Amino acid sequence: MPGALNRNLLIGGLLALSAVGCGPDFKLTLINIPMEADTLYILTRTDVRNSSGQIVDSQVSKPKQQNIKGLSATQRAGYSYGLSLDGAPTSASGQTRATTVSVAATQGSRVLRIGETEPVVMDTTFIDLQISFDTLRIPPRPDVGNVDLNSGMFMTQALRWLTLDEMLQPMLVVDIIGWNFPKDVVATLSIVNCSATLVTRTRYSSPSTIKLEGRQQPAQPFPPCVIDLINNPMGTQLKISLSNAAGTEKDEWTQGGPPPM
Amino acid sequence: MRGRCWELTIIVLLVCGAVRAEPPAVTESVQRPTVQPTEKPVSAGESVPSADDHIKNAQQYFKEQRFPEAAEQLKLAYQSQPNPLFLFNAGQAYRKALWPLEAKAMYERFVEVAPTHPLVPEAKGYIQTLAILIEERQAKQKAELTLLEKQGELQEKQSELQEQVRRREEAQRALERAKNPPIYRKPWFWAVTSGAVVGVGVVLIGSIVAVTRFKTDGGLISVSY
Repeated sequence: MPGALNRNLLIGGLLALSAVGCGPDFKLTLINIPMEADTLYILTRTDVRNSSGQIVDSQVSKPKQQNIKGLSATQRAGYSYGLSLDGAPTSASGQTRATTVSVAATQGSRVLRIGETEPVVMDTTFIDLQISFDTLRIPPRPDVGNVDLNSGMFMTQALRWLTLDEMLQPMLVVDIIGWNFPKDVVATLSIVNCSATLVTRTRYSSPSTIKLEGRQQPAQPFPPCVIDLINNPMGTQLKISLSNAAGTEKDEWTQGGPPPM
Repeated sequence: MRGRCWELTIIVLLVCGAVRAEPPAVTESVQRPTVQPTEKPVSAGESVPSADDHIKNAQQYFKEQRFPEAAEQLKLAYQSQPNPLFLFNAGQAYRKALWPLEAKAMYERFVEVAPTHPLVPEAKGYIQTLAILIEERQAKQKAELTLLEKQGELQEKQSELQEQVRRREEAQRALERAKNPPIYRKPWFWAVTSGAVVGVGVVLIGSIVAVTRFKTDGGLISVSY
């Protein structure tokens, strides 16, 4: 009888764990949703890294659309959803799994706020996550306001730095983060008022991350206008253009301060 | 013919006063009748009724077909006036009453006290017939008795058998109870019950925790990769 009782307790514990585990992965609380916003888009990206920190698997979910027309001002001050990641990659022993949640608030097809959280390591079964729309950047491109975030390509971040490649040649690297990048995406860049010509190469990582590498041909040190992209980012303008191979999908974004007169 | 004969004889005796017959030579103890007449058709003024009174009474009882009472009156008449014919008639009355033992006894006394009487052959015939009848009756009674005894034995055996069957069934039920105790006495019942209780409790608590913890304003959004 005691053995049976212990066995039952064990089964009950497993049931409890499964009961807790079958809930959502995230509780996403959105703070200060813009009053004009009528639609929310939610996108998640899960990266699995090995013990060396290298990404071994990265998968991006399909954008999820949520109608928020009926939310009152009070609700927009703080509104929560449960997020369940269906089919997210799993981590093996010695690996870590981190998920980034991207959200966008739109009015029609105009993007009002868009941004993403820092990667959240998913070592627990349930994570409380808060995103304040006040901290999300306003897309600096009013001209690209019309985009369907369910399928349209859209850059949200472009992190740039200078480094050396394996041949020890100077290389400009731009990590572009955004939505709905096709696999055949090609990225090009140009620096306003800079005569340097960079040969670029696009590396597709996932529907939300691509890497753009730019070198000079023949190999030579970068001119100051290129170096200023890092040293004086507000003083230079970097124009990034994305397009698929057929040229049917495009996105452009010019980063940096106003061009010098 | 014989029936008619003795009836006529009785009537002749009663009417003509056959009281003149001689008393018997041998005194015999008379077989006691089993029926005692309680009332007499003829209420004699005398304190002791005479043989004639008894004969009149017997005649009256005969007409009323109260044969045992008639026989009794004839026996009383014989005591008063020992005419053997009274014994013969008493035997006839008992025979009519279907009392064979008493009838045979009366005939035998008649034959004994009046062996030369003309009715002796007839009386002997009756004795023989009645003896057969008595023997048959006794055999029948014996057979019935035996049958009853056998039936009793059979019933007793059946009762014993039923008792044995009842005991056996009871023992079997006891064995069944020992083999298959009530469900609440079985260990697995409590194991299952406790498991179910624990399981339900844990699931309930887990559900409450999950509902409280997972409570959201906008419900669940499932994002698929």
